[in-house]
Amino acid sequence: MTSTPPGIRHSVRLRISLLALVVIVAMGILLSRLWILQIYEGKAYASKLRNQTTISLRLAGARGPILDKNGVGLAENRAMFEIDLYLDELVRDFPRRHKGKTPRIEVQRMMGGNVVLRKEPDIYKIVMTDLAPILKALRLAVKLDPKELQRHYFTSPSVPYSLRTDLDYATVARFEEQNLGVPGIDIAVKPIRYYNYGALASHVIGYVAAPDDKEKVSPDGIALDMVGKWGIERYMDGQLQGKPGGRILKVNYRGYIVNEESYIPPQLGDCVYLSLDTRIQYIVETALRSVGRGAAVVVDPNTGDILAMCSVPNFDPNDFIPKISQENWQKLTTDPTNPLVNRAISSYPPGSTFKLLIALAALKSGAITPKTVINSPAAIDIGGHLFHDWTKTGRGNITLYDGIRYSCNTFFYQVGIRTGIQNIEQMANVAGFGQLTGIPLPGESPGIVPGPEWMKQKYPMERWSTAHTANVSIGQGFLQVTPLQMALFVAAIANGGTLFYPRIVQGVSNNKGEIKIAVPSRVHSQLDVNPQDLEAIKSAMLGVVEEGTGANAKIEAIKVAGKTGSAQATKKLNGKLYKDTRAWFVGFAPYESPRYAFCILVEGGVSGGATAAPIAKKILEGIFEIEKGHNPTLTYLKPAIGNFNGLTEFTKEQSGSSQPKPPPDNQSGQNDDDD
Amino acid sequence: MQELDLFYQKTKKINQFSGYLLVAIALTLLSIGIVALFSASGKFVLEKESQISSLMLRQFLWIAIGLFSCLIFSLIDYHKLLQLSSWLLILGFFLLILCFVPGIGHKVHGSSRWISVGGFNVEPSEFSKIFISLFFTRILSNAKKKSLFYMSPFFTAFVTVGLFVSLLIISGDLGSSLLYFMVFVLFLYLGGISLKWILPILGSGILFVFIVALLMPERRSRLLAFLAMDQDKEGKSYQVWQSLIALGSGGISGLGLGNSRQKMFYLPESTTDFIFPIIGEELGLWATLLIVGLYLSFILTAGWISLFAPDKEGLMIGTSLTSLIGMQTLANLGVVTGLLPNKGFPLPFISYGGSNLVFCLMSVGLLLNIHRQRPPEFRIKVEEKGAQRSINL
Repeated sequence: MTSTPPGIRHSVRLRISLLALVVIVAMGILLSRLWILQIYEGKAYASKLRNQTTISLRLAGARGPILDKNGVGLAENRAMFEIDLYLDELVRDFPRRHKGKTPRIEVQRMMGGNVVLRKEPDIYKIVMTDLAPILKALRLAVKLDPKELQRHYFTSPSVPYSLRTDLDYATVARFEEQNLGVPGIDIAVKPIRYYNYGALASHVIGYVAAPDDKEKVSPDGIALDMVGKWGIERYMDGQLQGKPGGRILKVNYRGYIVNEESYIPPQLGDCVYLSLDTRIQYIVETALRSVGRGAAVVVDPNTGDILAMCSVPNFDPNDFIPKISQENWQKLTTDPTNPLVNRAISSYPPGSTFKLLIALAALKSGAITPKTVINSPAAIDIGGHLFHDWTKTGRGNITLYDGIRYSCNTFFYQVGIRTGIQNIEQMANVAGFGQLTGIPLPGESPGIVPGPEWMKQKYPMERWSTAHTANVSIGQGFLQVTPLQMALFVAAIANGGTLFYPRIVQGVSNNKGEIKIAVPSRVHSQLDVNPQDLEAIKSAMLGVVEEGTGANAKIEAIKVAGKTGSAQATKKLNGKLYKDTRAWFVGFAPYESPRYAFCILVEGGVSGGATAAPIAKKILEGIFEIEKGHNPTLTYLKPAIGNFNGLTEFTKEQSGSSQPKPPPDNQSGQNDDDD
Repeated sequence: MQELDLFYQKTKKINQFSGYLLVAIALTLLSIGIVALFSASGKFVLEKESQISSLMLRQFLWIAIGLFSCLIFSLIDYHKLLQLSSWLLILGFFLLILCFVPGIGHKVHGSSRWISVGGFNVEPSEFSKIFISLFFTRILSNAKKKSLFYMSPFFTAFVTVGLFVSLLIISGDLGSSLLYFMVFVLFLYLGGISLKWILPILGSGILFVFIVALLMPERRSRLLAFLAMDQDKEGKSYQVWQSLIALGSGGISGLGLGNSRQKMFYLPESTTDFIFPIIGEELGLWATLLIVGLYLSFILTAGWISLFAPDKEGLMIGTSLTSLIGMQTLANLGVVTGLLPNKGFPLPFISYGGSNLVFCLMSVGLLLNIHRQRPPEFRIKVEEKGAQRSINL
């Protein structure tokens, strides 16, 4: 017997089974579709989801500070105040505040694939209605782009629109007074660079600015707000850069913030310690301001640390923050005194200061001994030309001591010729001249140490003669050195013959104070001179200050050793040729156990002894006051303004006719006029 | 014949439990719906200051009503309902007309398919689906004449469905009208009409709806958007696009319950027609596969019950209700996965909204009713007694 239910035909059951099959197949298609959607295409959809449901707000990372060797902050951060506009709030509150309708504007929008005209609140009008009186009261000029504003309002109404304006405290205070009752206009704070002492050490520290296109992204892929453009700021940018943080906000489809999904705190960059001593730097800066153009370097002869480096005129790096005005930039770049040039690492003819190197080379080569007596008349004949001393009388029979003390030219012409240019060149190379010191500052010049080889390359038509050697012997002619090289060389004399590389960055520590990098002081070379010979030079340098050309640098209680130099150069200004004497004074102190070696250069000075030595005196007095515990009061320095005081009009008669004509492009003069 | 007998013998146990299985699946889907709805409705608290509970309470009330109707429909013999079916059909038609009466009818998105009853919006077309199924069963189960011509029961059915479909098209409810039409075709199919008639009717019906859709500007753009989705992600296919983003970003394991972002108003209708993508986004592939599996089991179990109905009336009622739920499920899932053009079908048992839920639970009740009345041969208890009936195959 069969047991199937009654009244139903078999074909109906078949038909139902067919239906079930259709359902199973349909469900199978659905399952595979889900599988593809959620597994194979999942990642692509997930990124789309992130894009449309989150907003990332960038929080700028603060730059690490630049400190001096004692931890005094030279470059730190301050709070920058910006005006933030909460557009949605402004719009919603508008009718209440102005007792009227919200102004509307027709905007073209892509809706559903078509361009449609939509009526939207005229956000520009609304913002200006509320903001203009406030800005006017604060005397602030802010330009707004109506289109950008409208777009911002449409795409992310609840994300504040930032008006980039650097407001000072007083303005912020006044703003808050004015702003009473306008919701939607608020002040936001951002960290931004601040140079505590203004123009102090501006050539060393440099400045930061908004990155250009190449610098926008750091090597590890972080978009940068500000990058170091000059000086240590630039050289140490990788360390100083803070890591930006961010807030990732979940928003709904209208752009309203629902909650904060994650917060990455911005990080302070690493801290850079310089070798500078702010107090000494301050003394040097204030002392050098008495002249219109010049440079000064103070180094620690025992380490090669640069304690102070100053160049006048200079600039205030704070002018570059957050953005230098067109007017200021114009001023800086067109100023004929070149405030952006770091004169401490630019090259100049060294004048008589180079006689120290000639003496060293002569002693080392055995051409003379400290006791060798040389007749030094008012002028001598070299290769058919008369070479003059700067005195009209001559010095008679003198030894090295007096030769240096009086800075006698005729003495050194003979010493130089006896030593020979090869020995001088060799010594100059050992002493670091004619080569970059490698200080991490932009614009360093290697200087020039001329010799027969150099001549062959540079002026193939000329031949090296003893006259050239004589010129080098008094630090003239083609010879070019930088104040930094000179200071390091004097430091090497002071410390007994060790020439250091300059050290400006002492180390880097992270923001917790742990030292990450400690920069060791590095030895460039040994002068390798007999100690007695070095002693002879040192005592002659003492003689220069005690009873010679550098008497103006004499200070109480502390023995100072030094050497003056005055290199004559010409300067073309407004079509006229001027005599632009480079006055040098190099030296070290205290004589017995040197702690400071220095080099001062003044452009447009009278002479080394008259112009540079008094500055050295001021600096040394200040430094030894600090040693006694009397620190100078550090104040914010305005930029030193350059001038051309001290130029005297150049006439043919004044030029030394007794010497070979310099090559046409040789800018430096020929005479060495000393005290 | 012998094989069929053997099959029936072997499946007795399944028959015994299919009723429980059906209820269990329905309740599982209901529970999933409550959880999903709880998550998806969270946004209203944030945005519209309405309490999360108000939407949920409403849904709980509908579930209670639904379960109660399920109980009623499982207890009243469906043969009695069949006798009342003409009157029920007239009631359904009347309710559909009420949708157009101002003050009672409730218009949403330009279509008049709701009537307001005491703060609740009821969609009569949902209930009428049962009524029309019952009516078709009554007139077609014993139709001797397998003809579609004038005065045959099939012709009566055609006229009836034509009236309903016209009414629904006027009210702007293309989806339901298509469902009604499909029910009609299904009855032709079950009534034994030859496929050479059914297929052209099915084809022309679908073509008709398609043409109507093209004539209505709102529908047309939706339809065209489906055909070229990638070009119009912000516009007409925005909803489906957002739905795909939700499903896709859920991946295998999902973002976690309650963590859907798309529900934050990116995906419109995320509590009703588009709740499935939210589940997919929060719980991932396993949950979506589970749900699809549950629907498949539900349809197969319901189909099984219909297959072993005591008589042809039961079979027809069961099959048509199962098909209605099945088509609705497939349509909904097809839309949210971008396989079908965007048409508003709620997801049975899960989507927010009362009318469809009550319809589904009523259907479950009727299926249980059919199951309860299954012939003794399919009951284990009476297996040996062997009350025999003649078989008309």
